Amino acid sequence: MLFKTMIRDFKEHKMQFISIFLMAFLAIVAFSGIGAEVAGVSQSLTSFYDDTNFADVWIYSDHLDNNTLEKINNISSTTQTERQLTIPTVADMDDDPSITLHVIEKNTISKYYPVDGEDINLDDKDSIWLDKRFTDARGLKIGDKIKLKSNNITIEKTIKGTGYSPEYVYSQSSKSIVPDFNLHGFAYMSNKAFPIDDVPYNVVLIKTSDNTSTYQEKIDENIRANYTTYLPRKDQSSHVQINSEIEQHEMMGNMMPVIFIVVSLLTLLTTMTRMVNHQRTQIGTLKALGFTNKRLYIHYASYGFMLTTLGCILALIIAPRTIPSMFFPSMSSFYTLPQWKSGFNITFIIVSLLLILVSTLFSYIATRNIVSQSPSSTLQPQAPKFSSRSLLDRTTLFERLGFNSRWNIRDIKRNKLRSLVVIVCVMGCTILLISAFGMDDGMHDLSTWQYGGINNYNSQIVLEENITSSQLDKITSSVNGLEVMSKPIEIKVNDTKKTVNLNVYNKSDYITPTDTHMKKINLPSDGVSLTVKTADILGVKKGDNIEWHLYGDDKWVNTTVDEIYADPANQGITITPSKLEDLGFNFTPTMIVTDMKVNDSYDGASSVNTMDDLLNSWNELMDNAILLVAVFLILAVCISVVMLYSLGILAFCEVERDLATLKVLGFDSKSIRRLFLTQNLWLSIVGFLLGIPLGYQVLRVMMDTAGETFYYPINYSLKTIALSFVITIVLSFVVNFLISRNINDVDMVESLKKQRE
Amino acid sequence: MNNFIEFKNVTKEYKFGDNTLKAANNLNFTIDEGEFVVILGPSGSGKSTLLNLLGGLDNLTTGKIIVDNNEISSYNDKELTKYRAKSIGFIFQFYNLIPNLTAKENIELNNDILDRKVDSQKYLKLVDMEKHANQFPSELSGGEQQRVSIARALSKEPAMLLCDEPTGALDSKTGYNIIKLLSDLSRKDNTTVIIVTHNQDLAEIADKIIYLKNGIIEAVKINENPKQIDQLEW
Ligand SMILES: Nc1ncnc2c1ncn2[C@@H]1O[C@H](COP(=O)(O)OP(=O)(O)OP(=O)(O)O)[C@@H](O)[C@H]1O
Ligand SMILES: [Mg+2]
Repeated sequence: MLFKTMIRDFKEHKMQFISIFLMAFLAIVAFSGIGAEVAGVSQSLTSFYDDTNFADVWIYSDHLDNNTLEKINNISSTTQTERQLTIPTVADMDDDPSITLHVIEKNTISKYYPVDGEDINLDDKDSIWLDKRFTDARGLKIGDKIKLKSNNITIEKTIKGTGYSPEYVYSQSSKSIVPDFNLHGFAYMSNKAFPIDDVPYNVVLIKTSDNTSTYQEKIDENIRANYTTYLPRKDQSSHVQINSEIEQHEMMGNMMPVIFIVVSLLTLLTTMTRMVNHQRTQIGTLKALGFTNKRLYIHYASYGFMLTTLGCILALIIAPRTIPSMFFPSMSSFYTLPQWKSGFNITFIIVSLLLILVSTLFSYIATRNIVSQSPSSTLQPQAPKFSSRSLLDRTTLFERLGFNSRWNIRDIKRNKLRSLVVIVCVMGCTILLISAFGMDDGMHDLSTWQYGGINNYNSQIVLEENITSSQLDKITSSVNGLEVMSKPIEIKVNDTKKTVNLNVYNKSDYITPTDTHMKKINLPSDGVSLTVKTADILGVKKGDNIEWHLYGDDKWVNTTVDEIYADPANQGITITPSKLEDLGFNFTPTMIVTDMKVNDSYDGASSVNTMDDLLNSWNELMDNAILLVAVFLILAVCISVVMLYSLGILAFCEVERDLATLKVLGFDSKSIRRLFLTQNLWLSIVGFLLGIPLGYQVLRVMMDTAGETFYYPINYSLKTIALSFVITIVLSFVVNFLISRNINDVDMVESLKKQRE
Repeated sequence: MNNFIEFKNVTKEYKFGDNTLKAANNLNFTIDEGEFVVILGPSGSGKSTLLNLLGGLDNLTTGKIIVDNNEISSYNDKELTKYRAKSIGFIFQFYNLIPNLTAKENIELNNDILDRKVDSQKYLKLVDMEKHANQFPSELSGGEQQRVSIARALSKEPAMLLCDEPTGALDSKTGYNIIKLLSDLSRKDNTTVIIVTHNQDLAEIADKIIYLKNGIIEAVKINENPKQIDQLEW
């Protein structure tokens, strides 16, 4: 019998219960869907690393003789080592794609992962194994020949197989900010295929049983002067990139459900409170008939329990099967893994159970008050809410307000919880809208900031490593360009180390540094300037000291930070060539930037990038971000429509009788509608205003997780706020306008029969 | 004015699947201006239905209702709204005050309906409620709420007052005072007052009594010499 009343209640409060169900469902969809993606990618990555025996440490050195290798092997915690020669080469094809060639001895650590063709054969002198992403992008087939050029050697081999490498889950060329598999790749080749017998190995891959920092101490003890760079796995760029991506998704998966859960619980609370209030006489009757409090508690608590359980179960069934595969296309255009699959994590179940528990608890709390009263007091109609005139009512200002405003102010005061929920709901919508539009703004700002604000050249001539000074002079003078040196460096402050870029160039119009407001600033010509992002990460200010060294050079220098500047995508230090030489380094330009359109190929230059190339790859990155923006927008609109509709119906039911009375008295439908809409407009505006700062807060958190390379300035933009305002208010207005149409159908006769509930 | 209100063959049907229920079945009667009319009948006989039709709250199925030479039964929603606003004062069993507004404000509601300012103080005084002007309905007793409701209806200066069991929820003493107020009004201001009630005694003070049963008019009785209300044994 009680079950029958539950079904009738569900029918009567359809919209509210649907939205409770939907929000619980969406919360778990977001949590377990994104969670399944994160778990799946992590599992694929781990098994990829395990299958290929991914290195723990790389040690780079110019003179990796047998002696050094032996010393490393003698360290007791070294479990495995393998030497490689890794050299940057350029393939003899259009657009000069850069291929990193690995000349290998053993293929035991960070092994090549064959996909098509044969696996690596170390005795094969004529073959090469290539990056499958590159060969696919270029349409190369097994059996084709490829010619690779490096500083002083040219290699031409037959492609025997294509596959992946754990060191290249993420890779990117200097020419673009995002992976473009047309432009870069890797290649593996046996040492026997190398033209020189005595291969000049330059890196040792190591597996160790130690953690990487204690291992570094041991390396330092044993081969102190014999290496240039110690690279532990946690600093390896591919590894860092995929892991920060996973982390970002994880955070999104944890944050998004919060909004849904809050909204769901608040709706549950308002709906149950209202419903139970209306049923107080029914509850009294049931108690008088002999139903125990416990039965009634269980009855009402089961409303929340059933709805959320249903939502959670459906979500757990659907989400892990659908959401991850929505991520994979975009993920696989950036990352390379042998397998994209969805995974499972026990937290999906735990969070669902918690949600069910809390919902049940909320239903219980909402009913506790009434059920615990004595049957005789519940049998009487509820004592009317006492709404005596407050101080506010006595002010002359209030006296002057029209009937519409008075009615609404008092109605809000009497229905604080419902009003609060409307405000929270509009806030949630505003937060999502501000983050979406803010993100979009940020991306556009970045593009104009980077290409046009800071970098004002037309072409970038990338130089070979061993370019002679006469070749250099010749290029510089013929294109009237600016020589730029850009090298990775390691910065150390206290005990934190970070890998960033060193940028060396003279003041010119081609590259004009800016401050955080994108305004051009002058950097000191004999000082060291640091980007604001790196400064924030390291926790340093202007005037503080930093220690740094060039990769491939173990000479550390200690300098003060003389200026802080901002750059959206290139984090690190900027100094002039003369300052660099003062510090005791050689100025070795890595590129020349110029205003001219460069078509000729110069001796000593490896490739040319034009501003258009750079902009193109930037736009690709933007397309991806726009997808995220769209998801946020759609979510925002869906949540708000569902919530505003269900809350609007609730509000309408509550005042229906009063609206009917007004109608009887001769108010026309238009003014009654206005009465109803005014309140929602007020609440929406309040919710919107409160949502703005929170929206920007959320935006900041999201931007901060975008990684250590990018710096997004977050500026309050009138356009973003105005757009969000229009969408929020229009949504709220349209939804409530539709609800207010019910006023035409209010049955005056019917509602006059009823005693006030 | 004679035949101020005229019902011609008025029928109101409710349909339940194949069955139809005639809540008003071919009603014919007239009411003159300034008459004090009482409608009597057992529960479910169609008293409220009659009143609601007259008040423009409900649509009839067939027939005509003419008020002041206008056929209100052919009005559209907009015209009905205007008719309710200008011509009718309602008083209900459950008072139907707006809980968010004070007594005074409930009367001043009419400012928004009529294009003039009503003197709320005057009407509160008339029902002896001026002391309670700033109290909310929830802070008033039932009788007091009903008196505010009457003041609200009167402040419109309507052509007719329609009262559906105005004393139904009140004790007899309070009910007596309310009926007295209504009958005085009818006598003094020439306002047409129509009261639905279960109270047989009221028949004696009415100018006209309409007896209803099962949606049919059983009888219409005219009292040539109605008693004064204080002659009644309440
Ligand atoms: N909305 C409705 N739908 C169906 N039937 C209705 C509706 N309203 C009233 N009725 C029926 O019409 C008939 C007349 O109802 P009405 O409310 O006019 O009675 P009444 O004389 O006012 O009774 P009471 O003295 O109990 O108030 C009743 O039989 C009732 O069941
Ligand atoms: Mg009735």
